[in-house]
Amino acid sequence: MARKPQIGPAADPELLILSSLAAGPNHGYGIMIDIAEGMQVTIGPGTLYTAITRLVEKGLVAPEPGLGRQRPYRLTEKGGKHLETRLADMRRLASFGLRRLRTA
Amino acid sequence: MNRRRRIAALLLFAYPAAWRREYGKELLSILVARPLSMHVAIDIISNGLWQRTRATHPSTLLGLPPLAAIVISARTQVAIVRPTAMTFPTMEVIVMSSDWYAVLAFACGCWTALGVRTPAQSPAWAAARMSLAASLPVTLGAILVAANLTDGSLAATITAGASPWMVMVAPLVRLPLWALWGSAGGSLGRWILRRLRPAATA
Repeated sequence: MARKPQIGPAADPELLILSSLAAGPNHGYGIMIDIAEGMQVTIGPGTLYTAITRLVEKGLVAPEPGLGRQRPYRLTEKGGKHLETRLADMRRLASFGLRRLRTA
Repeated sequence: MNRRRRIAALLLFAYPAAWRREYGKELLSILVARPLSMHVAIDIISNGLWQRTRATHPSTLLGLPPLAAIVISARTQVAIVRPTAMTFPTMEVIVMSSDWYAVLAFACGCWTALGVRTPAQSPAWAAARMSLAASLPVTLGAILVAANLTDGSLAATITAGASPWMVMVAPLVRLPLWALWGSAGGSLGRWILRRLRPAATA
């Protein structure tokens, strides 16, 4: 059962989309399903396309020529580096917090 | 199915036309493929309005607050214009002669020069355009007074006893001043751009 997005970096639509596209190109609906199944987070279609618009503008994601009404999007090289940096930051933060919790 | 498609197509009108041309078909196909709940409708409308705000020119966005202030002053019967000996045609619109208005014109010029998501435009013209947008209620009000379509108290609020033709011209008289403020703001915007992206502006 998918849950509503929560506040925090793990529910950031842009980060979720970038993570989903790290596996390969996918179209909007496919990204929504992938995030709902993989992260149990539901992103509304409006929120999804607002995030995709921003990512395309920043050059982190690029549309690919597609057949039919659904156009696939792929992670650009810049997008891959951005995702790696963000995830590494999150991992550092998580390990720092967990270390402090264990010593408390 | 057809009804859902019609509702989905209607919801898409919350988005600006340019955005719909780029992403409209994709979003429509998602909306048609899944249940259309109230949550989804709110999500589409709020994001559509956000995209409209992003696509709106700074001069329109910054022209709205003074426009609202002028409408509110007219509604609350506060004089929105007053005679002055400083400028021809000896009328001034109170909101448009405040320091805040100069700050808005300056911000409009700066924002326009930064060129965030909007097509390039002269900062001076953007500030003048903002001023023209803000002065619409005054101009419309003066036209109503000139055509004898308002009651006496509203007419007195709008024109402060002066000729409605003078009131119509009053916001235009100060346009060069707002263009000047916009130009100054534009200089700041260009300076910021040079500092942030030296290669892009070289």
